[in-house]
Amino acid sequence: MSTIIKRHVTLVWFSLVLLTFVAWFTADTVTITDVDTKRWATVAILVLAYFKVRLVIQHFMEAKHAQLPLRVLMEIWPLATLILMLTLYLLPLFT
Amino acid sequence: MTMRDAALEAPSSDRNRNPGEDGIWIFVGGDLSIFALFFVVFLYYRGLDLELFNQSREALSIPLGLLNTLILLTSSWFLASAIEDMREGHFERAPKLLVGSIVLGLGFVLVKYFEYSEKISNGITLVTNDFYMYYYILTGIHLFHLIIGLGVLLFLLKKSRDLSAWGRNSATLFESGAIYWHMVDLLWIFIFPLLYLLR
Repeated sequence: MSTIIKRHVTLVWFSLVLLTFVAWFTADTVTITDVDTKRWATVAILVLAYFKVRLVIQHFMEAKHAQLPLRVLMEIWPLATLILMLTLYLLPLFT
Repeated sequence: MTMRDAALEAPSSDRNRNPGEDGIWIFVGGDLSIFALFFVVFLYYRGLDLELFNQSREALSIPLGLLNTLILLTSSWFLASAIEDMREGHFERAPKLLVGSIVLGLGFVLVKYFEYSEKISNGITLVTNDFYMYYYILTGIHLFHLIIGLGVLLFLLKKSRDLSAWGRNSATLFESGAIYWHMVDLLWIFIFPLLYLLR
């Protein structure tokens, strides 16, 4: 058991759980605040999700050990998805 | 050659090579692109009727969504640990970790069953409104991927019972299965905030 605790993947799992609770607390807090705060909290939640997805891709799927083309593609997907999601989330709020 | 020697000869995660089969990455790339498109379509239609989407979202259970997130993250951790075990020659512990990963996967299905049952018993179905149509389609397709993943994990569990011939081929097989399971996990990481937390 001690070998599992000391492993890199355990630290990654712990970070993922921590980020999940941070996102949950952020979502929970914004119910009592103003509209602008809600929007920026939602942006923060999506950015946190991006970092979690990146952690899974790099460390659990081990894309960080892959050859350059695959590494680049696996960096592009979560970032492009985040940018698209943020754009489509924010656009209706400013039009 | 001992099992330990065989493990040391197996490909290490530190080498500059693509983990798993190249084919699994092509599949993952295609699947991720399709899901990204789903996310875009969902957000586009959400933008057209913010009030309906926000109101409908409030009926979803954030604690259950959160529970399923933690379940999948932990299942992924068990699987990643099992693969590390195999690389290090701890062949006796790896199957136990795989069982843990499968049980957690089944836990996700159980939580989803309760969630769907509760919605359906309240008369909320695929045709209730646009939000719930996307809710059922997105979570349903994800659940379908997860059930296939459970089949993959069961296959890996069977293989893990005899690792006497552990080497590059078996390492690639286990890595490919793990890449698929982690993809199921990462898709949920985006689906959870999109459906449950967006305000």
